[in-house]
Amino acid sequence: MTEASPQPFTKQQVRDSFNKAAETYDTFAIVQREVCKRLLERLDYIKVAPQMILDIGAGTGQGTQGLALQYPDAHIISMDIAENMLLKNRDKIQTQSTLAKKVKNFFKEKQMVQFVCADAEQLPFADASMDMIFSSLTIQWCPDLTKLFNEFRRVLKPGGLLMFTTLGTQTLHELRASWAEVSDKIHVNHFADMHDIGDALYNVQVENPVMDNETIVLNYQSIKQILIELKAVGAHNQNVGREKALTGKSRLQAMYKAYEKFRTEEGYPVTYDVLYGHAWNPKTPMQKTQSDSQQQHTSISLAQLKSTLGSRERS
Amino acid sequence: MDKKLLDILACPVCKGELNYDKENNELICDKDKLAFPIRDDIPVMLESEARTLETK
Repeated sequence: MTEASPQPFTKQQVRDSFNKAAETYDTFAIVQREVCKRLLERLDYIKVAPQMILDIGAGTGQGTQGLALQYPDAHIISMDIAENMLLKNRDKIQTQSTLAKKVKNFFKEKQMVQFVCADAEQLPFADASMDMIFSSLTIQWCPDLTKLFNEFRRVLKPGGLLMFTTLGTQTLHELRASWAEVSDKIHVNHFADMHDIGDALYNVQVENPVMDNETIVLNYQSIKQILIELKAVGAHNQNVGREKALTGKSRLQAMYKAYEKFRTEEGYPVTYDVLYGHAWNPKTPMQKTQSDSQQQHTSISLAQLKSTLGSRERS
Repeated sequence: MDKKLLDILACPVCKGELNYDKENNELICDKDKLAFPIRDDIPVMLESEARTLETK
C-alpha cells in the first residue's frame, strides 16, 4: 500500500517529541536497545581503529557507551537533535561505573566523549573529520536520504565507515492497517523501503554498500499499551497530516477493534522491520559535481549493489 | 570551550569555521551572522536555535 506522505513531519516536531520522551525513553525502548546492541556486535567483525567517531541520534547513549568500550582510544561525538536526551546520556556516562573505570582518565584530560545537539541532515562538522559514523534507528526521521548520505560522506574521512540501522516499510504495519480502516488521516509514520535506501547509498557513490533486514515482532497484552509505549519512546506519529483534534474515542475504539484480527495467542503483535546498512567512504576525495547524473564515477554497478541486498527473517 | 571540539565543529549552514565568543558563550559564524548557543556545556548547532547577529 502506498501512502500519501508529501512533507512527512517537521524536524521541530521530532525534536520536541524526543525532548519530551527523554525521561521515559529507557524504560520502553526495548526494540531500540536490542537493535543498537546488534549493530554494535557487527563492529566485532569489522577491523577498524577509528580515532574520531560520530554517533548520530545518540539518544540516551547506549551506542556511545558501546563505542567507548569498543574503541577506548577514540574520541566520540555523541550527537542528537534533542538536548534532553543528551543530558540523560551524559549523566549516565558520568555515573556508569564500569565504563567510568575504563575511561575515567580520558574524561577529564582528553574529553573522550563530547556532546553536540544537531540535525543529521545539517551536520555541524568540518569536511573529512570523522573516521566512523554510527547511527542506530535515527535516519527514519530524515526524509531526504540522498541529502543525508551526501552529508555523511562530506564529514567522513576518505576510507571512513558508515554503520547504521533504520526502519523499513513493514514497521508497525498492524497499527497502520488498523488505523487505515477507520480513518483517512496518517496515523503511523511512513518508513522507507530498503531498496530506496540502497538506491540513495548508490547515488552518493559510497563503496561496497551492504544492506540486510530482520523482522522483530513484539507482543503486547493491550493495544493501549502499544500506543503508550510508542509515545514514551518519542516514536509516535509525527506526520503533519495527522488529525489535529484529539482522536475521537469512538474512532479509537474502532481502531482497537480492527487490530483484533492481528491478535494471536501471544497477544497483539507489533512488527519492526529493521534495516541494517554499512558502507565505506571512497578513499578518493568526493567530487563536488555530485548531482550530475551523467557523471561516470562508479566503483560498483547497480547489479552488484542489488546482489548485496540480502534478506533474512527472524522473530 | 574545548579546543579539540572547536577544531572539528563547523557552521551547519555553510560548513565554515566558527569562532568561540567567550563573553556570550556562543559559537559564531561570521559568514552567516549566526550565533549558536552553548547550553549546559552542549553546543546547540541548530539553525532554528541560533541568534541572528545584526549586520554592521
